[in-house]
Amino acid sequence: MSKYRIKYSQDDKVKYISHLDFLRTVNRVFARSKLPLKFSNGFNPHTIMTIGLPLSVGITSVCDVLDIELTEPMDTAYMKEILNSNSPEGIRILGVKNAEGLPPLFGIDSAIYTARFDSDKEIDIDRFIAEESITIEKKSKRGMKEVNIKDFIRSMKVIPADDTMYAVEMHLNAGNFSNIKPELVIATLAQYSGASFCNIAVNREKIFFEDGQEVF
Amino acid sequence: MLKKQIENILPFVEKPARYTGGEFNSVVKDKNRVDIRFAFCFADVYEIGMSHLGMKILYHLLNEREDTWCERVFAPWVDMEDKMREAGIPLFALESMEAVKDFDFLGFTLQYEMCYSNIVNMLDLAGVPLLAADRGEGDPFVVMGGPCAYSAESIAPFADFFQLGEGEEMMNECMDCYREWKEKKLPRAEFLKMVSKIPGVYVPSFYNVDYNEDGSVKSITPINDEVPKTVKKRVIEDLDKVYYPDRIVVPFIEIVHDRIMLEVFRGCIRGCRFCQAGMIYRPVREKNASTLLDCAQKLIDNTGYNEISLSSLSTSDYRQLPELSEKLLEITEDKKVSLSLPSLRLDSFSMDLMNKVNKVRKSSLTFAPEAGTQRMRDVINKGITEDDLMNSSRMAFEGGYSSIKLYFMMGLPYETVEDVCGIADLSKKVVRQYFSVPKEKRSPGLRVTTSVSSFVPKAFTPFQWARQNTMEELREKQQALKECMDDKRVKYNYHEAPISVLEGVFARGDRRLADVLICAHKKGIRFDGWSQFFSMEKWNEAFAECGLDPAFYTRERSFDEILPWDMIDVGVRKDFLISEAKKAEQGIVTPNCREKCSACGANCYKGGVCYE
Ligand code: SF4
Repeated sequence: MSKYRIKYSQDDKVKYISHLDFLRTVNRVFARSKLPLKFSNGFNPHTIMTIGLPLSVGITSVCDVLDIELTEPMDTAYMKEILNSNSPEGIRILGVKNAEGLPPLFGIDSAIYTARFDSDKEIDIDRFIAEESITIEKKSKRGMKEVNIKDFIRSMKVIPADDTMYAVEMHLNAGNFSNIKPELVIATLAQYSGASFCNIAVNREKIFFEDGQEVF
Repeated sequence: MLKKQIENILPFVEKPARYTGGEFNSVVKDKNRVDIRFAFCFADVYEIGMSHLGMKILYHLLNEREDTWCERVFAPWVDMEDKMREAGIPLFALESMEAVKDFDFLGFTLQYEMCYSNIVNMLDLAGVPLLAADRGEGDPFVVMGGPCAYSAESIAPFADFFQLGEGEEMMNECMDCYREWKEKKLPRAEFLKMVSKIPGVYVPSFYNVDYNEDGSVKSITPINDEVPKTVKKRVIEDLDKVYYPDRIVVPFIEIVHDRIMLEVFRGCIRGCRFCQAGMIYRPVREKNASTLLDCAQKLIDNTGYNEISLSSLSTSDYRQLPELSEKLLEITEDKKVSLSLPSLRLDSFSMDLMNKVNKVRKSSLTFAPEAGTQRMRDVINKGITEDDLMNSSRMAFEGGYSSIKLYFMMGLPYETVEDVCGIADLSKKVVRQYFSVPKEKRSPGLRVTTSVSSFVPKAFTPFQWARQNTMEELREKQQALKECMDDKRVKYNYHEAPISVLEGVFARGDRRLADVLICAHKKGIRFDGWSQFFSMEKWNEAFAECGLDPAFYTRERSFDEILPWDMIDVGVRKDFLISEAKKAEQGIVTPNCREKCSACGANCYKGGVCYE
């Protein structure tokens, strides 16, 4: 079995495509690259691919990962090159490695994001960070649920902003066990501050496994 | 910067990926290193425009030129347009995100009449003077083409010039001409003179149109001796030698036809009398199977698409279909690509082919008898008999299909209520065919869907002189048909009448309708093709304000009346159309091009079926 782990970025050009659009796009990248893809059996054969952590619409990333299965081993440097030349401009392949023996992607449990934004009034982010508990409505499998958003935020800090008024970095629960969308944290911050934000740019910077090891 | 402004509004609109470009195979060039910037505009949303084959061909053809950068422009959806107008963002092109008003050309493809209001709206959003007469030095040239261009007099005052017919050669000639004009730094009017020398180019402002008291055309006069009396459409004589892109833009979001389309031939041998495409694309010219296979291979490799379809007017008439389909199936199986077939005439060959293609799921089959009685099918020259349909549906049911779609038209010339009710009879007979197949041989779940659209007389067809049914007549016929449709096993769909009446007005319109288009635009009319936006009341107001009556355009005309599009020559001669119209009245059929040539005039082009 030849399984490969691929690290890639998604920039502004592709931030508005949905997860489904992304899957279709990546499958076409693989098809164009003519790699010896392994297909599932059955009526509608499809590639055997796992996306580490789906990215929500409107967010960019410099650290996403996926696993793909091939029918035979390939040179990883070659793979990186051929995939890049067959990817749309907004998706760049940052690295490829053999996934044999690597921890499986379903073990992902947190991610670091940065968010930059303008606000219609001055806000106190540190006060938000210092709060013990902020209750919000969160969508769960069984309808809306009240949760403490702080339970999902591992750490958060103000970082230097360049173009915008404010910038924060946040380490959030992410993955199958517990997940929060970064845009929800920002929306909560706006609501908490009684402010309205615009020019919001959220980027995913790093993804981690449970043991704190970076995923790629 | 415009780009930044656009980015700011994107989070607030539906499907922002319609406006961001960046798709694989889209072409980005350095604007400082090209001489010509061409905005290829499609007056509908991204998902529809991106599905259009002609645009794919010309986009890549233009971008093959080092001196030209062709970009795509689609009509922004209403939410986006509103945000753009609020923020003062003009119409922009997807590749550069720059305003199209600074381009050299805005090219519009006219695919259906119901996009005219969008064209006016897009010109306005672009900040380009709406009428060609109001454009000056520094403004882009607005060029139009596509199937409606042969009789697009109502939109003609908005165009600087038209390209009539197939564009692959003409487009390059026009760009060469433009370059020469630009190098010589000549005034704007000079370019129109120069470009009008290219065969197939029609410059509306070079023709004066006068009207009679009653509103009909009195005369069409070229403004001087240099202007030809008629402009003849261009065709590509040898489709194996013409440019076809080996790559196409692969969208991120799903579009209507999200697959590779292989055009196997142009034109149609059949000569159905209601069908404009069947006349304006004459003569039939086929591509060689080897050309197509080579093309298929490259397109699959360069796009990564996993579906490919054959696209032509009546694909069963392609003489190399057995070879082509066999080899295509080999390629597609090998590459895990699925082949989708258009609706084929049903015989043992096509049944066998469909079984190979749909190994698992038997989708529904489509038949288009178009009319309910034999008399009516003879009138329209649709060479299908009731027996043909019964045999085909039986074969389909025996072959395991249980869902059949039937397409009909109502409002055809010489049609009676009996003909309309014949639609119901025929549908019920198809149901009976299903039950005549032994239970163990047929699949469960019978579904017969009968869709009836309203006939719209089109220019350059034998019915171009015919009176179009009024809304009331159509409604009555729909009602009559509904009453005959008493079999619950037939699902009956019909199209709304008002929109086909408006379509009919613009399909046979004259230049005076340009005022109505401007007036409609001021009333905020756009996206007429989308029923949620279509408002006949607003259109009626616009007609009234301009002192024009829609019924004038849908009336019957005499053979000797000057038609608004008489300065255009599509190859098929008027006397042939008149003889076809007379044969229609008598219910006499005309053989297809391969049975017997009827000397329609299209053999003036040296190629295709006329010389087989
Ligand atoms: S000239 Fe004859 S063969 Fe050619 S298109 Fe006309 S009818 Fe068909």
